[in-house]
Order: sequence, then structure tokens, then C-alpha cells
Amino acid sequence: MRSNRHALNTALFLLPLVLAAQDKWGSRDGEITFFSSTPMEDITAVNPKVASVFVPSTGAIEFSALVKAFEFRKAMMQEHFNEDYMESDQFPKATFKGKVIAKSGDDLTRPGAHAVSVEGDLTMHGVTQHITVPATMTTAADGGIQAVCDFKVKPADHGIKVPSVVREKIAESLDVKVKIGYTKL
Amino acid sequence: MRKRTILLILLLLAVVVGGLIYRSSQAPPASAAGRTADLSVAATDLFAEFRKDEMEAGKRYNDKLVEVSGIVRSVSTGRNGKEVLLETGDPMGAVVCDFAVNEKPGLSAGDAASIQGYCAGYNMDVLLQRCSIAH
Repeated sequence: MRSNRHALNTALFLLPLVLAAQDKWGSRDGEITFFSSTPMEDITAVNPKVASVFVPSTGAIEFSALVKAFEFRKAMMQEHFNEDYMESDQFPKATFKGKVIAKSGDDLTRPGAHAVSVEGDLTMHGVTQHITVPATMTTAADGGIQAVCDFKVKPADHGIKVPSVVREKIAESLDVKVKIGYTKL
Repeated sequence: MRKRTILLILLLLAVVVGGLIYRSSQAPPASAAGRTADLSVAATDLFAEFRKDEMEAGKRYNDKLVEVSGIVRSVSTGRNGKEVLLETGDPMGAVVCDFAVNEKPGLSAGDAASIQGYCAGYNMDVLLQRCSIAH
């Protein structure tokens, strides 16, 4: 009897943790791509190791990307990106912490594509900006969730200075594409 | 005549140097293959150092060619090529070795391995890029 009560107490104590765990979705291999296009040069970089957690019941969403994990076609571009612009030794990660806002009455766990907006704080180069961007979350019949989001980022908004010598090669506003496939944690 | 020869040599030199500089500016990021590692460490220790103090471990390992030894947790195919995860003693984190294109690790889960790659830091896992098998 005593051991039964003990088991019940333990189960009740653990229940919120279990519920919280059931509701969490995550990815360690999300992809963030950015494009800079100018008449002088087109630059693309991909980070295929973005970590993200999404909680559908509350809409809470977080991303974390290692700046050094952005892969460029040319070694020299990668070096300049890390050393001169992003200063990745000092600011090793770019992060986002915010909320997915579904349209009124929309249930994100229902299979299909859902147009949502994502609102929160984007921190890059140690500077945080509050952003609101449109995104699409597609829920598969087996429950997997794919999130896709395109938006623009201005390096200047995050205190990133581009020397005048290369200003014509780097766009004032970069196109950013986020693609994450979530699985249940 | 002599002046013209000197000018011609200088011009030729400028073309060669310019060509070399242009070529190096177009080169892709280097793979770890055929290089000598800057540092050697066990996968469990590398992960523990980053978990303890990310900034401090970053100063020691980031951008360095690191040789990591450990037991293979899994092998999969990533965006660039093969991706080998090494055990860290923590089920929530691994040392992720992203192999360079065309590099074939020839490893399976449970194997003991020594892999070298460029350390990019810690983001739930420790990430090594452009890896090759260490010899």
C-alpha cells in the first residue's frame, strides 16, 4: 500500500515534466541560408546545423546557430565573414527567441500547411532586434512539422560594419531562408 | 634594351603574382585530409570542456584542426557528405564530425575512431567540419 502511494506520488510529481516533454519538438539539423546579391558579386552561405525547439501548445520557438558553421563556397569569404563582420570569436552564436502566432482558430497540429507569423528577438553580433516575419508550418499526417521562413536582415541593424572597400560587393539587406524539420522530443 | 627586358620581367612577375593571389582568393575552405592536427583530444573530454565553459573551450579549439578519438554512435548522410557522431557520455550531446565531400569514413556504430576536422564550436553538440580519418 505504502509503495503504491509512493509510486502515485512519484507519477504525479513527474507528470508536468512528462507532459512538457511530450509537447516539445526539436531539430539539430535545421538549415539557414543567406544570400547577398549585388551587381559586383553574389554571395551565398549555408548553415546546416541549426538547433531549434518548438512547443506547439504555447507557440514558443527558439533557434541557435553557430556563426562558424556557415559554409561558403570560397575560404576567403568565410574568413572575412567570421573575422571582419560577424566577429564570431566574440559572438559565436546567432539566436532567435520568440513565438509562432497561428491565425485565429487554426490548430497547428492539424495536418496541412499553416500560414503563421513569427515574432521575437533576433540576436546577431551581440545586437538584439525585435522582428515579426511571415512563415509557413506544414504538419504531416505522421505529426512531423516542417517550418519555412523567408525574411530580410540588414547587417547595419546588428552593428555589423562593412568597410567601404567592399561595400559594393555586399548587399545592404540580406535574404535569409530558414528551413527546419521538427521531430518530437 | 636592358630597360625593356627588366620591364617585361616585372610585368610577367606581376601577372604571375596576381594570378596566384586570384587563385587563392577563389579556393574553397580546406579539407582536413592530409594535414597534421593542431590538437588531439578524446571526444568525451572535448564535449566536457565545451559544456563546462563554452567561451574558454572555443578559444582553445575553434578554427583549429582537432584530432578527436572516440566510439562511433552513428553514421548518416548529411548535406555535404557523411556525418559521424562520436559518443560523449551524454545522450543529449555528441561530437558531430561532418566529413568533407568525397571523404569516405568507412565506419559503423560501435567502432573506435580517430577523426580530424576544423572545430566550429558548441551548439548542443560540438561540431567538427570538413573532416577526414586521422592517420
